[in-house]
Amino acid sequence: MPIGLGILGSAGVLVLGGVVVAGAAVYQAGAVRVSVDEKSPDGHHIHLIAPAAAVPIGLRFVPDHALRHAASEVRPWLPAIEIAVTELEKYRDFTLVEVDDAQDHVKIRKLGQTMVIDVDSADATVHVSFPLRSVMSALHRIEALPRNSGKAVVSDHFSDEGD
Amino acid sequence: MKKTILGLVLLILATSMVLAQTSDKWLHIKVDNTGDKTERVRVNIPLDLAEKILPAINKDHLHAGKVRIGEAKFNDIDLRAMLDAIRSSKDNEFVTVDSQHQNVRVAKQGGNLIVKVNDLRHGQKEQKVDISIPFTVIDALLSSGKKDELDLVAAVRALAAHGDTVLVTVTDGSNNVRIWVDSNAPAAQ
Repeated sequence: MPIGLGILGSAGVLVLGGVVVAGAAVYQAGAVRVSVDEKSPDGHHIHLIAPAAAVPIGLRFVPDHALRHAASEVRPWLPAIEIAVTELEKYRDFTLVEVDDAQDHVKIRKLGQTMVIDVDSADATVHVSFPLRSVMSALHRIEALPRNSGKAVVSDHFSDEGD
Repeated sequence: MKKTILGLVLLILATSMVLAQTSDKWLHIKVDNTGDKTERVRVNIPLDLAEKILPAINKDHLHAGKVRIGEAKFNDIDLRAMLDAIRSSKDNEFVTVDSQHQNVRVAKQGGNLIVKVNDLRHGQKEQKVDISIPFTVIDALLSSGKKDELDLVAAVRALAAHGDTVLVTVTDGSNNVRIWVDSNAPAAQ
């Protein structure tokens, strides 16, 4: 066999192996699913499935200023969310919250290593599911944000209010 | 063969230890409104999870698993002394209020503080409130040592250590509320 063909074959095997390993890693990490179906005649229908493994990469491209406001709101809750995510993984599947009234149906469940949120209201049907682990990467992105002198400080002020 | 059996036994032990550490006791909240606005609410929280999350929340009056309620709320009543007196006494009814529209009973019964309220002021529908809190939970709640502070984490821990118990039931013509603790993990439907 010519040497060139052998190198090409080896490279092909390596690439295929890499794809299989990457695919396995993506499969293992699960997927983030977001579906929004507005019920009005001209309503929007958004269906998004993204591999959870891509969340940390995707978050790197979100500009700091776009995350800063959300970060200031979420920052006081970060330690609690981190513990919740870690601890929830240990539990069997269960329904955390279920609310049904004449117009709205809300269900928050833990299924496998995924949190599933379903909302069926008069306006829209929303389905969000995400692997618990993917929350951690979002948290780390928020933690890494520099605290600005605006909202973040306000949230710190609130967090110390009871002292 | 012996090694396989030993391995299996160890695996079962390890699994049961992990399961025993989690999903042991659950706080359930159930609200059913069958009136004009039909409403159904179910909340299921593993007490173990609550015990771990509460100390991590530092917001407003909640810090490190303890909540400040402000001394003014006690209206100069020494809550600890009052509860100590009730705990050390025999089972009895301590407060009885009977009026045209409301009956209130506060009692100690079988290690629990019992509060029963029958209220007829909500239109013609009688509203019944039954609260039963184990004294171990009340002790834990007041264990921080500060007069204006309740130790929620200690209370959750005490609740988890306690057997299955119904804490609160509220019923009127159309509303039913029930808050209880048991070992039944709710299945995801």
